[in-house]
Amino acid sequence: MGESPLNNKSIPAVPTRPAGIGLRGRHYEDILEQKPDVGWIEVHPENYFGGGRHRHYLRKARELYSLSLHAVGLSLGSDQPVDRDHLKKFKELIDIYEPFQVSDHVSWSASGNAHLHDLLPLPYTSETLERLCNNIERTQEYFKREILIENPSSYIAYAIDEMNEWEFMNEAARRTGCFILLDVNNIFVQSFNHGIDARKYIDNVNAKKVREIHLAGHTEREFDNGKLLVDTHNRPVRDEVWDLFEYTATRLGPVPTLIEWDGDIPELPVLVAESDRSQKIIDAVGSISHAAE
Amino acid sequence: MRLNKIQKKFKDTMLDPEALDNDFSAVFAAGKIPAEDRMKIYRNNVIKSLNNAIIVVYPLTEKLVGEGFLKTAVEQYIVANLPDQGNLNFYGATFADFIETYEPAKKLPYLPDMARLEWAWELATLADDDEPLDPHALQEIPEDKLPDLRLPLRASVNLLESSYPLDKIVDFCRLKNPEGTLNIDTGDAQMMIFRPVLQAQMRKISPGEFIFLRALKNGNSLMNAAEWATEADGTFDLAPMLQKHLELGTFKAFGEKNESNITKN
Repeated sequence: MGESPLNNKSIPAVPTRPAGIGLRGRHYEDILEQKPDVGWIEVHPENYFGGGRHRHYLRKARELYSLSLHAVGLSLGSDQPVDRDHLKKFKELIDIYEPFQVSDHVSWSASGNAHLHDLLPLPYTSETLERLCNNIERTQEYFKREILIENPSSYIAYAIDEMNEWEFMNEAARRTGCFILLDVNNIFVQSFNHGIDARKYIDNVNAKKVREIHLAGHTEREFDNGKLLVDTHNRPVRDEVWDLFEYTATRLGPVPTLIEWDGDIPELPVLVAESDRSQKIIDAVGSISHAAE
Repeated sequence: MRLNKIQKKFKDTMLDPEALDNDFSAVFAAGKIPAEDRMKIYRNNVIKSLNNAIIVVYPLTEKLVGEGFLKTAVEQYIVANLPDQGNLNFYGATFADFIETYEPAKKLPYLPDMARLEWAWELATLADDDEPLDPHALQEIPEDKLPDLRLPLRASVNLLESSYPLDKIVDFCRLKNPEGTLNIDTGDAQMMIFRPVLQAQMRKISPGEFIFLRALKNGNSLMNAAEWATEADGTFDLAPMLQKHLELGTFKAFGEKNESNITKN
């Protein structure tokens, strides 16, 4: 039986306003009642693989907003092919909800039959690049569309890296034709945890490939010998990350920009206010980046 | 080291960060913070997200044993039963079986069935959407075809039988301030857990009703299901039972061809 495709075609596929928010279960009722002025919404497709209330509310929200499907379970960087069942369920959602873009991460979570449900770090080697590209291609062939791949946060770095992260991202995008989801908070986390120059990262990522930006809050974690930043998505975006976003927006111009908030989720207006802040920055730097074109 | 081996070792080391060997630590960049501590961040993330995914399914079980007890049991379950899928919706299907063998829970013999009940609730909540059978649909079927009719149940319908009065235990758990003790030796219970539209429900059903619905769920004919139910439970009466479940929306709508639900013997 299943669901029929959306009836309402009045919502444009592509958002007319760059600033969007992640939609989580806590806000299902609120978003339909408050109809906040955000450009688009994003959800994890994995939460909609079953039926019932999640799909019910997503359908209603989709009638109001453009949608992006941002996966966490494809495990594109695993040394094994993407799971066909996962692709099939994901594709079913694409057909029903008509997202303007779909994405997953440059990371791995599955090894053999075990699925670890975290975005685990990859060594940036030519072998990894080949595996990742094969999986991106499998996914794109199955979906019959390009996907976006997101740069990760990581807490450990490999000594065996053959290239840096932006070179790895750019090359994967070049080889497969996929696009890049640039998580500015993750770049900040990487710069702190691994001593990378964040602005140099942004200067060097292939600007033509970036189709989405993520912003989120992170948390400091103290150890005996120092501290690490952990990408926790449970608090407001830090000021340092807003500064880095302004730098990014100046270089890239208006790109769909999302606030992710997954833990200690606040009331909807707080999330929307964060999103408005990103919109203001995009508007403010708009004239500058336009002049630079 | 090849990617395949790195990912296998990463998985093993993450579950037990103290077991990081020299061979594997050479793969990582040296820093002020040792690799063991860095691995612990991943371990915590993974255990926490899997723990949350399971615990949220078992609010009543948690009420019966307490937060700490459940958390410890779940953590032991996780390490021995890592998920095998990239979505967590159906992770934890075997947790009730684990509870059955879990030594600290042995003195609560009803606990595995309570966990099964809550898992059935989760399955009903997440079941694929489908349409109920129109209550008038049976009127269009010729009387001589009725005995051979197949009435598949909706995807969300789960049936559970227990030697313990699960319905009474559920009611007890749901009290704001449960006082006193509940006698659990008051007989068995047959439960039906399903989702009419958006919200799952559970209800106690009669022993005959349980046999009837289970037979239909397994694809048996209406006649066989009714016969088996009557044999086991003298109070079973087909006509009101059909009426009740047509009204509840237990049966799945016929496909495009009604004939497909009637097979000749």
